[in-house]
Amino acid sequence: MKVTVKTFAALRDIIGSANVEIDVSSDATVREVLRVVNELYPKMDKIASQIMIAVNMEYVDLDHTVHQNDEVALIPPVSGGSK
Amino acid sequence: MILITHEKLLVEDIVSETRGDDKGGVVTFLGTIRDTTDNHKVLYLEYEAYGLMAEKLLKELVAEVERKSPDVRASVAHRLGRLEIGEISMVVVVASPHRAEAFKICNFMVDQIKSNVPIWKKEVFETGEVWVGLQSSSA
Repeated sequence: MKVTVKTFAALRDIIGSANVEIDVSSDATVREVLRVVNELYPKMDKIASQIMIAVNMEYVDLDHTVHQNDEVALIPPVSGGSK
Repeated sequence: MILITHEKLLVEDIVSETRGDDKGGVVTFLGTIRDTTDNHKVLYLEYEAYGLMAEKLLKELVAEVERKSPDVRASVAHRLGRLEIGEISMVVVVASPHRAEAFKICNFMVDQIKSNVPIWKKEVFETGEVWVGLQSSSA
């Protein structure tokens, strides 16, 4: 199935696009989604371990299963507000 | 109230929306743009958000606070886009019958916002730029 992955901030700058469309099996986990995106964009390796993942605007762990039409977002370290 | 906007934040309006005659203590936190980071002169900052998710998490945070402390009312406003030195990037207002609770909850909310709400800032220096929060020099 096709999944559209949103990227932001530092990660979007590395990948060069705010949306990435990938193909994964129908029972793919978030871990698999991350692996496929990382394979397409090896440069994201350097921050991959810091990325949190949200599916349909909820943070999920790597074992979460992705479904068709889910909104998957790769979220680099957040920094709103001020120090 | 929750507000995520590219427009200038109007602190007085946010305070007015939040306070009430039964609230004796109103704590207002302002996040403002600092002119230096680690001895480097900052030119300006750029904020961006995963807007719908940020709004959802901020609503959940305010709902959680108001559920746990029914006498408390809280508001969060966050600005996006390019901000100049000294401008206000975030406003958190907590109104409570007594001040101790308002200070405590305001501090809790700022910590929560910084740790999990998908809003990012890029510091732009004379010598380059960096996305804040990355744990390496790779940005």
